Amino acid sequence: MRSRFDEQLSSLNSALIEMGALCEEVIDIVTKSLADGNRHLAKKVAPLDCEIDRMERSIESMCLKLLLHQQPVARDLRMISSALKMITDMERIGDQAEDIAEIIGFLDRDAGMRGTSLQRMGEAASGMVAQSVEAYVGKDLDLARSVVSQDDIVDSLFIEVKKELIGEVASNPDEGEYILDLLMIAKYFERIGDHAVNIAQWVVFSVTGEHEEE
Amino acid sequence: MTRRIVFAIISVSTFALVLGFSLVVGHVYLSYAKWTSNQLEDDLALASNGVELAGLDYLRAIGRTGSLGADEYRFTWISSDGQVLFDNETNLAYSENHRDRPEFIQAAQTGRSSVTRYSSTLLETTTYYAAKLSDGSILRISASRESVLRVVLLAMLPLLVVLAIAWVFALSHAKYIALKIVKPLNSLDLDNPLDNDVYPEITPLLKRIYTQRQELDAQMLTLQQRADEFDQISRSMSEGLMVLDVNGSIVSINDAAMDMFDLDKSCVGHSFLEVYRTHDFSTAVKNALSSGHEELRLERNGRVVRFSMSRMMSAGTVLGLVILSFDITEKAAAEDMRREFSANVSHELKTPLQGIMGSAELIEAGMAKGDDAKRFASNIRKEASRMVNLVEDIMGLSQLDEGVSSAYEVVDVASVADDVHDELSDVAKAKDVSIEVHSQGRPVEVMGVPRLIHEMLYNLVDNAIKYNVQGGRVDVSVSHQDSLGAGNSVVLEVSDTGIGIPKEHLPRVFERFYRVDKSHSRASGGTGLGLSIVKHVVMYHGGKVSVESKVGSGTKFTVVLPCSPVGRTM
Repeated sequence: MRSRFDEQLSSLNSALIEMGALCEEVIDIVTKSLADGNRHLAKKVAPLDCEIDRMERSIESMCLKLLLHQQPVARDLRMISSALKMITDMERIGDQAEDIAEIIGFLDRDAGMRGTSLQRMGEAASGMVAQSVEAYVGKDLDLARSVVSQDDIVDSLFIEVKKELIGEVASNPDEGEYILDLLMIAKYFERIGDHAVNIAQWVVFSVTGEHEEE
Repeated sequence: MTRRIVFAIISVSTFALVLGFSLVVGHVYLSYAKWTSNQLEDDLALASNGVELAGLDYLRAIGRTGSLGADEYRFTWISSDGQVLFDNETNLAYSENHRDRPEFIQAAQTGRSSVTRYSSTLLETTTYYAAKLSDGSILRISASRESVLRVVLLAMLPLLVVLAIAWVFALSHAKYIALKIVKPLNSLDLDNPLDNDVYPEITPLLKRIYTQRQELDAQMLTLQQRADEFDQISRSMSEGLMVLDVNGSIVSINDAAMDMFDLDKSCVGHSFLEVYRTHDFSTAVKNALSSGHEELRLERNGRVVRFSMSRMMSAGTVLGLVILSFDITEKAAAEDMRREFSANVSHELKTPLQGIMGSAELIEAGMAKGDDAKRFASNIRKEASRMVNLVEDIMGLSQLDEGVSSAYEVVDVASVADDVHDELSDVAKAKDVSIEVHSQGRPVEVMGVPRLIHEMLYNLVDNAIKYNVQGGRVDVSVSHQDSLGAGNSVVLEVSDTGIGIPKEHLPRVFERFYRVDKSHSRASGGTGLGLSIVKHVVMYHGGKVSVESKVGSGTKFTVVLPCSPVGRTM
């Protein structure tokens, strides 16, 4: 009985890692395509996001089944309940990455964003997602807490991007739409950073049993 | 063991006891019965005589004195009609007629009789002997003795006591015996089974153990050898080798794979997905598990890795995956370069031909008259000469590639620099660029091929002028340097104040046809092979070339040539 439960927990674990890997991949693609102005690359995001949604549903039903049939307690319960929460954040990351990819597809400029604060913001958010997944894989509390603290970097980058774009609007009033698109992208990156923080917090919860607020 | 021994002792002792007891009881009882019969017969004979002589008085006398065993036996004198005349144990008044008794009837007929009667209530056997006296009366003598069953019952109690003692003894000794039997077995030296001298009964077992041990050792050795072989192979191979189980956990991984994915030994037992989180990879693992084989090429962290996965099957069940991984980063980069090279070379060859063809077509159609015709002809000549240059450059490069040897002689690099300065001064003037040659002492000599060194320097200075800005300058400095290990060397620096090369292009500027300006602009002319030739020449002479550049402020090429050539002495 218990060994079957352990087996199910371990397959839940690998499914969660796989979903995390997908999130890492989509945000990586989005950041790269933004940096190089590569619309073609951004098109790869949509199918991956579908996969993320599919995995969310399958992990969700896996968790509910486990809760219902095994009635887990203590650590197992924490793992399953934090998995249930984490997939929501992961799914949001996937959606927002897809939104960014969509905007990239509509941008009326080819120039890449390499070296801009927006691109740095994307890198930072991407790094946070990767590290939160890494923290989950290794049950690494220090890494998880470092992800939580990195949120400030993304937030301050967002303010920086916003200021830059305001200046841009003032000097090029005709570029309004383009600049707003960039602002949307920045906002999505900021949200992705928040979701990465959530994931990291759930990692801390699943290990210690305490949900640390920012 | 102890229980079995207890059981054995108890059953053997009980069996022996019961059997011995019954034999003894049987024998004693039978001889006692025989003895009693004889005694009775004798007594009856004596008493018969006595009664014949003395009548009732005799019987009364023996009844009183107890002689002839009268205290044990019962004497009865019965008249011929069955009336009891005398009985030493029963009152005559209560005696019934004995006419129907079988001993009476038999004795009356034959003169003598003996009958045995068994009383189940008293568990007694009574033996009667009767004799017919001369007057027709019957004298009967009888004795009662305990039946076999009663004897057995009476002896049962001591027998049970003995049995109980035997059982207690069995119980207390069985453990000791068991220990004693087992002790030498426990101390058997199973490593050398044949050296034991314990019980001859277990020698076949020891022999069997010995042969099995030998077989086991041989198999272990084979296995160990195989494991070692596998270990050696997997350790020495440069490809990454991994074995995953059906859940994707790492079962075994070689050093090359650990290096490739930046893992250590602790990863064994963990899912490979944990360390190499890529959706394509996990999809490929699933495909390989279901279809048997899968190839995959992935780019991650700047490395390009090709995976080849094969499923392991045993007796119809999937055991896992063998994954070979090859780091093909260099190969992929080389492929990209080759692709770019062929695109470039076709482009470079095609452009002048297009110009030539266009101009020629116009002339052919008669649309070029007078000065125009001249202009087109000059276009054709220019483009053709460009192609000639290109072909010459390519030929020069391929000569260098093939290592065609030329004679080495002493070359004064300073004077070569002066020559180049003179040759290019017109070009420089046209772009308003000044050239200066600085040299520390003359001559600055190296062993080399003058033609190649001239070409190298020409290309460097030509580039410095071409990619310069209006009013810029080019400095060529030639000097000796003593610090290059094997001997003296010459340092040649060409620096300009030109447009510079962006950082990301620096590593590739020496590639054939590589241009920083991707638009392949003809503005600066050139074949795209100049720096490639420079690099080949430097390598031909066993030297080194390096480049530093800053966008907007200029570029500096540094060439270090050994004074006496090393390497390439074909």
